[in-house]
Formats: sequence, C-alpha cells, structure tokens
Amino acid sequence: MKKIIFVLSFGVLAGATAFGGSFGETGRRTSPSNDIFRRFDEHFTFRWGALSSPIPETCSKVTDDNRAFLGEINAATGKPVFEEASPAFMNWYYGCIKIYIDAERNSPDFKATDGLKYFGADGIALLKPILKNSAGTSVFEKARFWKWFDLPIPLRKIIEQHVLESLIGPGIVDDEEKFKTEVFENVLGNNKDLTVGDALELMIVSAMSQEEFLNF
Amino acid sequence: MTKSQSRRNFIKSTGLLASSLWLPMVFPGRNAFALNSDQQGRFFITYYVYGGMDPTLGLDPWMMPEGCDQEDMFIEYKPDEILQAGNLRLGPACKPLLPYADRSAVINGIMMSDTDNGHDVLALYMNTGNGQGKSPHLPVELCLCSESGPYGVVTNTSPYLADRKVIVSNTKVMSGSESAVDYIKILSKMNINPDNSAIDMAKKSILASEKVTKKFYEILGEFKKKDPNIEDRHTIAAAFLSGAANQSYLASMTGGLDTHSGHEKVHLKAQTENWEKIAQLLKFFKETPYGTQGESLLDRTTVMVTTEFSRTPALNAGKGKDHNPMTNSTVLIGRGVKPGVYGASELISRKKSPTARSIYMANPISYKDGQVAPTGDIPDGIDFIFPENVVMTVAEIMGADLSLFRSVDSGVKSIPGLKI
Repeated sequence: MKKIIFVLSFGVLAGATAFGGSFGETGRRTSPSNDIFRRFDEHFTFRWGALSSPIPETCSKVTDDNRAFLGEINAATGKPVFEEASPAFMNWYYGCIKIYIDAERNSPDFKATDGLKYFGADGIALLKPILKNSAGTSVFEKARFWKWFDLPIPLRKIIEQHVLESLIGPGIVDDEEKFKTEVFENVLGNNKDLTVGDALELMIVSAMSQEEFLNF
Repeated sequence: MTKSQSRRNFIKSTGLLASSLWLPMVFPGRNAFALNSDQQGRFFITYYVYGGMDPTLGLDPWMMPEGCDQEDMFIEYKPDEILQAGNLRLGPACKPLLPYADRSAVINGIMMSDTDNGHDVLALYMNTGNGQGKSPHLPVELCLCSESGPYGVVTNTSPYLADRKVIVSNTKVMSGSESAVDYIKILSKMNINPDNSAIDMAKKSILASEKVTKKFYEILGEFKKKDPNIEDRHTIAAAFLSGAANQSYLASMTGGLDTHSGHEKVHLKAQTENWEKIAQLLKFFKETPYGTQGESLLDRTTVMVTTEFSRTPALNAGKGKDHNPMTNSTVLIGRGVKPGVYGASELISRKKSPTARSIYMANPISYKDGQVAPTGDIPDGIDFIFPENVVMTVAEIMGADLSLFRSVDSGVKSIPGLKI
C-alpha cells in the first residue's frame, strides 16, 4: 500500500527535477545554415530595396518553414538537427533559385548591365548585331525571347562558359567542356522552342544543383 | 570569410558531405522491416496547441463537487452546458468536436510533474514522452518505426528530432513548390554522378519519388479547385493520399490560452477557436475518400491533440489561472481508438488541501483494467498516466515496430482498453 495524494511517486519528483534541468540546454539556436543565404546573396547581385516584390522570408533567412532541413545545430548534440540533404531541401532550394532568378532579371541593376554576368562582354558584342531589330531596352531583354538554338554555336558556348564561371568560378571544375556537355547541354536538350531566357534559367539551376557549386 | 569557406561551412552544417547510406533514410520505415499486409495506410498527426489549455472548459468538464465552491474551482458554465455524446462529456470549448465524439478517446488525468517546469519543457514531455530531450516529437519516432513516405514528417514548424535522422517537410514549402515537378524534369536530364555523395543521393531520391511527387501535386491541385485557399490540412491530406508521408506534426501557436490574468471568457474563446480549427481538419479528412472500399481518410488517420499542461482550478488575484502540471488531458481521434474517457482528475478543496489552495490533480489508474483509482491509500499495481504511457499507447495503435521504438522504455505500459 502506498499513499498517493501529496506524496507523489519518486519517479515524478525525480523526473521533474531531471527534465527541468537538462532540457534547458537543448534549446535551438541559429546555425551556420545561414551560409546558404549568403550563397544566394553572393551570386544574385541586386539591391533588395529596388525589387518590385520582396524575396520571401523562407528564401532569405532561417525560419520555422526551413529550419529543420537547413541544418540548424542542436546545441545538446552539437550536430545538425537534420544531417542530410533531402528531397525537401532540394525542392526548397530549387524553388528559391527560381525566385532569385526572377528577382534578378527584373532588377534595374541587372537590366542596366545588359546581363553582362551571363553573356560576358564578348557575348554581348556578338549578340548586339544579331538582336539589332529586336524589341527591348537592354541586350538581355532583347535576347530573352530569342530562340536559344538560333544563336550560333560559338556564341552559345561563350554564354555557357560565362554561366559556369559566374556560378562555380573559373578553374573549379576539372573538365569544363565535359561539364558544359554533360550538365548544361543535357539539361537544355534539343527543344527548338527554348528561349535564351529559359536556357539561362535551366543552366543556372543545373549549375547550382551541382556538387561543385555547393562544395567549393 | 571566403566564398569557399562559406560554402564548406554550409555543407558541414547540413552534413551534406556525410557519405552515409542515404536511401534507408528516404524510406526509413519501409526499409526497416517488412510491413504486414494490414499495415498499409496508417497515418498519424500530432496537433499541439501552445499555451496550456484548461481542460475544465473542454476535455474534462466539471460540475461543482459537493463541499466545493467557486474559490475551489472557477467554472464559467452551467451544468446543462456540458455536452454529452455517447460516453463522452465535453465542455463548451469542445463543441466543435461533437461530430467526432463517436471516434474519440479522451485521456484525462495525465500527470506531468508536481512542479511547474514551464511551457517548453512540459510541451516537450507531452509531445515526446521524455522530459529530458532524449526523444523526438512522436511523429518523428513513428516515421522511423512504422509506415512512412519519402517526405518524412510533414509539419508547419520545426519538430524536435533529438538524434533521429528523419526527413522533415514543411507544409508551406510543399504546397508552394509545384515547381518540384519541373525540377524532376531537369534532374532527369542530368548525369548524376555515381559517387553517392549526399547531394547526388538527394537528387536520386527526388527522381525516385517522382511518382509520389507528381501524385501529391495532382491531389493538391484537385483540392485547390474546390478551395483555392490551401491550408495545412489540404497539404497533409495530399501528402498522406499520395504516399509522400504518413506522419505529421502541427503546432498551433495562436496564443490567447496562457491566461494568467483575465481568464474568464478569454480562454474559452481562444480554446474554442483551436477546437474549431481541429474540427476543420477532422471534417476535411472525414469528407476525403480513401481507397476504394468506402473509407474516409479519417478512418485511416489517428489525430492526437496535445497541450503542455492544464490550468490551476481557482482564479488567482488577477482573475487568471496559472500553469497546472499535476494533470493534463489529451484526445485521440480516428483510427484505432476505442471511444470513451480514460483516466480522471480530482479536485481537492482548499479546506482539505495542506496548502490551503485547491488542487486539481490526476487520479491514478489500474493498469490491469483501466479503472480510475481513488486517491489516498491504494494498492500496489496502479499508477498515474504519464505522457510516456500515452506515447506507448499511440505506438501500439500505429502498429510501430516496438523493437525499433526508442521514445520510451519498452516496459512502459499502454493505457488499457484504448486501442481497438
């Protein structure tokens, strides 16, 4: 026989003391997963204040929406609460890349440079005569709806090279020609209706999805 | 910090460089053990309501006991406002739950602690069955040892994972990522390196879950046609129906329940609003067909509604009610539960209380037959219902492989008679 009322079992009392003290140390804190947002910032260079629509919070900082799969550190274990890349992470990542691409294209800064980062000065020089009768105020706007496969092969190669260098950097990929073939050209396929705008988007997404982009 | 360091830090922080086998994590349950044929289509949702709901207004309604008065327990409704449905008695806040009373098991008298450890610790204890941070939120554990899908645990927040390696998918991100289907198209054209790096494995898993992902967005699209305002309930239902996930953890953080002052009417309103949201989810699941045998999604889903503690019985000087961890209530609704009330709480008047303040606390039960035991001198073999007992009960209902279930010790008893 035991007295329950007011003399709660030792288990309750001991448990209360233990979990009161120990879990206080397992609170979450913001982790270096902020790095992924710095990567977006580094690559997509535009003034946030000039955007017509803001970048959603889930793509610009650690929030409750993305916290779990962005590798937040559990202070109790010193390890990420989620340790592996997952479909959830990659799908989130892809959605955010698309948002940043749209924001960049529509930013005054990007338009003012004629899309230099992706076309390069040499690409723009080759594009200008081709696009001279096209509508649009900048080279990018003129080129955006031009058919990708209507561009001469050497110009397409130049653009592929600039996209590669702007995203992964020169000299990082062991075999750049192989990379351009196996990543960019495979993804672009042979769709004759593909526009330059679509092609750029596909190349950016595919480059940013590579181990080389995330690892180096 | 250089660019390369920055990138490496991200990879380190996410563990993307880890080269552990990844596919077992993609379908953890399915790889963990062979499923029995009767285990197809079991779904589980924890719906956690932050703030500490007063069960006397909802799951554990009271009429004033003999010898007690309003200074022992503040009751703001008349006895005829208590709702009776089958074996269930529900307080006015739980009115929205009435249509689901015939498939609800209310558990009253859950002993959390004899001291107030605060919201976070007791919420963790209630939602994991372990107060020391050693166990994850229950849907996370179930994802590892029962049926699960490639999207893991679908949630509107960041569930506590402890050390479990489980995929977590956010409801907002999922419902806003129709482009995931486009991404599959892009990935399918890429040469994915055979070196099985974590990123490549993630890409492969996206491709492997192509059918499920397409199905998920198809179903979500159908829901959108009927109601363009996609809420968490739509996303979770689509995830369950498509095979994307079998577990969900939802947190309602709307507030208004932690009424340390001005409790009257304010708490009732806030609690009612929460039950209305829960009822919306139940209604949607009940109206959503599952399979071809005339079942609804609710017939396949067990929903557990939790809160971190109850509230003290009498009003304090500020006309509020404070945290009361000495009893708590939860309800399991849907598949696998035998409707009824399990456990009970007791009111000890201020005249009988050694502290001269009334106490509202859990009664122990017999773990042989579930009978509520009186307080005072009681035989051995009975004990309180603790959160770990609730967690074990759910694990059994969900058909978890108990050899893999680490949330609570294997010797923890389940609540007798609750599981069908």
